[in-house]
Amino acid sequence: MVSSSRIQCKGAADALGYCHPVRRWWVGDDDDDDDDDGDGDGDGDDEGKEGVAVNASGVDKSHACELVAISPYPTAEATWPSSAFLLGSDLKLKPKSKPDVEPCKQTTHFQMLHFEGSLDWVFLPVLSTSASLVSTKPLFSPMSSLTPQVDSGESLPPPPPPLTFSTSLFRQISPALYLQRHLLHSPPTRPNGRSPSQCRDFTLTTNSLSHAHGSAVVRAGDTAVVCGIRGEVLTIAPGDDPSRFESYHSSPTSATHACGSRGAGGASWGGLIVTNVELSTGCSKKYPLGPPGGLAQTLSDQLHELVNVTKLVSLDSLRIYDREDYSDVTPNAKIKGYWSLYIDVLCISLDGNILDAAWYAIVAALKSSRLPLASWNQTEERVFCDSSLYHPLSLRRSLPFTTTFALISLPHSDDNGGGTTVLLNDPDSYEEDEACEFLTILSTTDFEIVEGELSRSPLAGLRTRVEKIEKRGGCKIGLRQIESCTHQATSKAARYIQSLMKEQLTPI
Amino acid sequence: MAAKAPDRRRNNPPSHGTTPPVFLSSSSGPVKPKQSSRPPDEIRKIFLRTGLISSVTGSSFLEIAPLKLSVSVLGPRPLPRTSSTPFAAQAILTTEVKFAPFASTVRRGYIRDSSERDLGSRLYQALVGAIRRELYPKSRIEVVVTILDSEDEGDDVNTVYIEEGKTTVETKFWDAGRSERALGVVLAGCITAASAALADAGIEMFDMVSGGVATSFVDEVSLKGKDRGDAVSNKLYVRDPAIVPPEGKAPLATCVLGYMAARDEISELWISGKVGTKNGTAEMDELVDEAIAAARSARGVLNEASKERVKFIVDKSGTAPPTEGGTTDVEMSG
Amino acid sequence: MTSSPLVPEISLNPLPQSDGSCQYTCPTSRTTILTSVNGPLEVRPKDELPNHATIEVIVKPGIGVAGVRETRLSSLIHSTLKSLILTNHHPRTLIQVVAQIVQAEDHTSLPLLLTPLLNCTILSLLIAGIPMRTVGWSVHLAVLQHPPKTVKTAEGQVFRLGRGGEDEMETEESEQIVVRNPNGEILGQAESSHTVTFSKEGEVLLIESMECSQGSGGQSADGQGWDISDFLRLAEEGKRICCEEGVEIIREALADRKVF
Repeated sequence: MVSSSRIQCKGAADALGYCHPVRRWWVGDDDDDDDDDGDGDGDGDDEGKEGVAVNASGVDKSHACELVAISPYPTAEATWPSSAFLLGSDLKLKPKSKPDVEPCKQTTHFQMLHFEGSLDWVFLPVLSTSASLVSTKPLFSPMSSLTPQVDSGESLPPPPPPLTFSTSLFRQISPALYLQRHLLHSPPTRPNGRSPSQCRDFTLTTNSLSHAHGSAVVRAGDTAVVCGIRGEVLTIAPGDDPSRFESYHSSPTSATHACGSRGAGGASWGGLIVTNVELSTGCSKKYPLGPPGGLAQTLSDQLHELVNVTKLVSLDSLRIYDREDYSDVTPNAKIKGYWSLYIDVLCISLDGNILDAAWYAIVAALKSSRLPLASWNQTEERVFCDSSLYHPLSLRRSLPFTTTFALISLPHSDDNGGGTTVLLNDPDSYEEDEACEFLTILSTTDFEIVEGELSRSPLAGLRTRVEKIEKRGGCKIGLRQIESCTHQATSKAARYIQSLMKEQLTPI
Repeated sequence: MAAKAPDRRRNNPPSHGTTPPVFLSSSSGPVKPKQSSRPPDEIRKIFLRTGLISSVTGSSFLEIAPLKLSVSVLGPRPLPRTSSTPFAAQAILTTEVKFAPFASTVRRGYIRDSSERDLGSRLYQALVGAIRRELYPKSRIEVVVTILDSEDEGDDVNTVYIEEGKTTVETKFWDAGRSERALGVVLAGCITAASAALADAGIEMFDMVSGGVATSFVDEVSLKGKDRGDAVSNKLYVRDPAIVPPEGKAPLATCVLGYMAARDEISELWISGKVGTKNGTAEMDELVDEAIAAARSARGVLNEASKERVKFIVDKSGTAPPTEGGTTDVEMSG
Repeated sequence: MTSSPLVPEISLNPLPQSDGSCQYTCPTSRTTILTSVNGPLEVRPKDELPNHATIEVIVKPGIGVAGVRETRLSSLIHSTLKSLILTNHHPRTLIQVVAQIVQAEDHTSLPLLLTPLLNCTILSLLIAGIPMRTVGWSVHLAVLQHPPKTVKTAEGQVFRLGRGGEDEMETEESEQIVVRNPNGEILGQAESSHTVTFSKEGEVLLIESMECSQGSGGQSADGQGWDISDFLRLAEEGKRICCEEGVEIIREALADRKVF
């Protein structure tokens, strides 16, 4: 009986109107369903037929702050914000009368209030009597009957059956608790079925686009990105000194400022490669359309910095010389221009950890790029390309890869009272929403390749070299955990390289 | 090259300014682009799949030869609560069409240009009549199309030819209707894919709209002659035309339409080019009929994709429980 | 204030109209930041959080208009402040932090700007009386090859990392030195740059480390980077600096104001 009881949700265009979708929840046995619907209609609630269990589209995160509340756990930290009382009393939900149900099958109505960002959802159980729901006091009195059923539970049989949620409902209404429950299980398993250190499977397709000089499509779980690379020619004007392009770091001016004034610098080797991320492609309903928001801008800057920090593209293949004959590379050929690479990453589907996917797509796309052979034409005084001859970009030999972790803290582990933390490799967006601490490691590992197969262990004597660490938000991570993360990064790099080899892109 | 105002929300190109690569073709008779062997009344194979993006309400991905586009449908969701939001008894539909920067021969910027806005408004016209907007009051439905790859003018636009030692920038294989044809194929693809995505989102429609495109061609010689009116008889209608015109033919007019097959209604019609004056109505009817035939073929694909999706959902919910919901390793009671 | 290479110049409340403000000058790179904190203020309904305060961080560049770099800096500071400020004390309000880069050697260099920005922000939050869980301090460390070519470093700015009693490593150890608060010139020769931020209790708040060796002439960048154990020793040293010296600097700066 207990297990069969479930929560149903009825989307009701209620007193607050369509823009404030008030959802009414009640627990009942399955065989009550028809009665419930009938009652709903009797109440003048037209959406009676829509009273289905909440699914992914039922509770929309973007509506969340209008939904009304709930946690079955009156935990110690559970604070009762005053707004709960206010909203609870202001809503004036019509009481649902259920005359034909026996007392043991008493239906409990709930009103939900969601508090964005809070750990604790507050359940406001409303007994299904015709009593007025407007008063605040009785709303909280039955809380004691809602304590979670302890596993050891021998002893007193609690008369009202404990609340039971369907998995999908629990997932929606209390993400933090849902995640903690999964991770406290032994062995810890994430809601998506992975172990904490397991990353998602990914697929890679390169050079599937016709107009890009190099392209890659990466799909990791439900995150999908497309990276396209286009080369354009930067011609050095007669008065300009090409030497500034030969060093990596730009001269001290603001990036936006430099663009306006030609002489002010700003362009350097690193500046030749322009990396941008576009998220306004309808990749997720959480990300608004329109100009890039904070996330897209931060990502663009991060990826731009990654390209520069790793010095991924060596300058050799970007120089355009003053020569007619391609085969003859004279050392004193004059540099007439450079290839400027536009790296554009479009996120098609966003489900967390876009940085890793985007970076991997960039590496693979650069690896697969073919630029037309360009040279300076003396008579026309401009750079022309050959339409039949292409050359690959020369990248650095050992490729660096990023690995991102999200840290979830578990406030109450069963054994000790102290909080523990779990590091989740390659978080999806559900996990990202709950985590407040992120760690990204950019590392390089040289693997031994034996007969086209990647040996499982890194080359003897060579350890993983870390080139960038970024840890942001939160305060729970320990330095030792960072060390263990680099080991996970190494194993992930091996998988990256293997899939590159599958695409006929030899890493070396 | 004049530096444009920097975009302060993105990384900007080097301040020196860059130019797209220009190809030099030295051969006097450059190789003609290859012809397709497809009969004129057959459309290209369409790959259409829906529901690939899990984080939006509805989505679809469409591929017709080089054209690749992804559509996501957001909503219906409430209108933003600002004081300026007017009351809307019907859902407000917005459509956005954006080419990826690497989707065409000339690199596009991130700011939408006029052709993208034009495609967006045409897509809006094609869809707005099909959606039962009165069922979704005070809400908005957003359709976002991202074009990842397309067939467009081709390398001709940035190729310089050398003839008798001198260079010429004159494009060799250029015909007047080329860009319209390219945009038409894109628009037809957008319409078909957007309908599939709307259906995937579960948004009620009167009928699914499919896009069709057809072009009328005449012999190149007859176009040059004086007696153009006589050329009506030997017109060649090509459904879903490729960018390269058939051998020895010159394009006259291109017609793109959004068509609801079950209701036999046209929701959007766009004809560009020359439609003869003498028996103009007949000519136009023929052209529209050809486009409708192309749209009907696309509708078949649309139906299949929708059926496939429904079957997938039924299979998933019927037999095997979804992986996420099916985990029983966590105590859920409480 | 003495011009020690390790002690920043701090001037409190230069902007009397704001709830709390601070001007901070890095002693070596002369990077000057001016921050102002206002709060708790009324929050826009769009940004309102039901039981937390909304934190808004705006970084204004010294030159030109703000770009992606400034947005990234804001988001880094924002994520750090989120774990410091007790946001549940002022629910449904706004705490606004505005940081103006007054002077910098390199207005696009993230490592040179991040430490002054963070330290200055934390000081102004203290003055504004925003309830915080703890305080944090940030230090910027650059790793250089041992004989620094031409750079001038002040006394106390340079130290080496001790290795736990492994004699054969001694030779390797002498190859690298660590410079605190490097200026642009030193950073230009550095192999890697590490900005570490720790709270008073020694919790890791923010780490932003990156390889920054100059690639010249398009040479291959293979073999760059550092070993994770080297980093951990560096981070331990950074933790010591933040928790001891950093907290002392805050204490001294605020001594007159009876904040502690």
